[in-house]
Amino acid sequence: MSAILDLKLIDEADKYLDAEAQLTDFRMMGEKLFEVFGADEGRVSTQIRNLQQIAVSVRRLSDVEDFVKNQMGKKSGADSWRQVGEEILAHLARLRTEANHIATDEGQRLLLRAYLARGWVKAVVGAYLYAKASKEMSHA
Amino acid sequence: MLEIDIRIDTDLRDRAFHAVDAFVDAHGAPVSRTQIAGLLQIAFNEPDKISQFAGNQKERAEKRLIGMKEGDNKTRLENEVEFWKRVTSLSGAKGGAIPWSLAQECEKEMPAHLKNLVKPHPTDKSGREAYNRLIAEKERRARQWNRDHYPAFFRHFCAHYCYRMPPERGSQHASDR
Repeated sequence: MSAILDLKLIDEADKYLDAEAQLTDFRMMGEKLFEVFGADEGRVSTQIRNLQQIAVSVRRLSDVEDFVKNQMGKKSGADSWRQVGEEILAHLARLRTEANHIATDEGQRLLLRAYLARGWVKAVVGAYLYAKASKEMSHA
Repeated sequence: MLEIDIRIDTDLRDRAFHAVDAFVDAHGAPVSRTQIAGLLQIAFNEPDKISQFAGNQKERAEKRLIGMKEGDNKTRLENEVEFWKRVTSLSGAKGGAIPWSLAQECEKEMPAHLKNLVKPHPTDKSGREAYNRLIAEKERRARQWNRDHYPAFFRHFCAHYCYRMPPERGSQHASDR
């Protein structure tokens, strides 16, 4: 059981993340995040930063799932998360399925899930930033 | 770390989600977010005391039930008692009737020489000393196992429970106000 992700699997994961279907899904997700969270006085929404921070730093995909569920389950301030949370969880579930499909070794699957989550959040936040910039330019 | 991470990200995750789903489908969400935060805090800081904490919460709910008239609040408290029973069962329960618990998993993963320890006769001094050493080793291993697994399991459990709570539900709990 290796703690280093196999290069062939990274290649497979990159192909999945770069496929047209995923890119479209991720772009739509990013745009939806901008619709729901907007910007904090011109700056990137704290919620988006938090999501990004979690996704790039965790070793386990389930930590990202827990973060989203905790945000959705809060007593106050959860409305926005409840608008997008189910869709985010569906995206994360697809990443989990894909990792299981690409790798057979449980250790590699664990690493691959985290790798896919980082790729996912990079694409989604990229789309969010593009939507934010587009709106700012249209108002300039 | 890899093996524990795998377990946390797969088996413990799935078991926590299923446990919450099964409970909420049958009993709703009778426990407040404040109580859930308390449960999580105990899981992180004193995992060995989860069963004791759940037992205390159960007793509190049972005391409040005494003499209570039939109604929504009584049903909620009855469900709360069930919730804490479930937490106790998931964490510390042992025995054939319990399909799965963290305590059972911990026992299963003990090295062979620490399983099924038999207490020696009181007059067997050297046997008693060896037995005490093994008990101490077993307790040390169990504490480490608990520190590794309880916080992870209950983090999944609590996140999924909060996720399953209806958004407006929080305002119905006195302890949330």
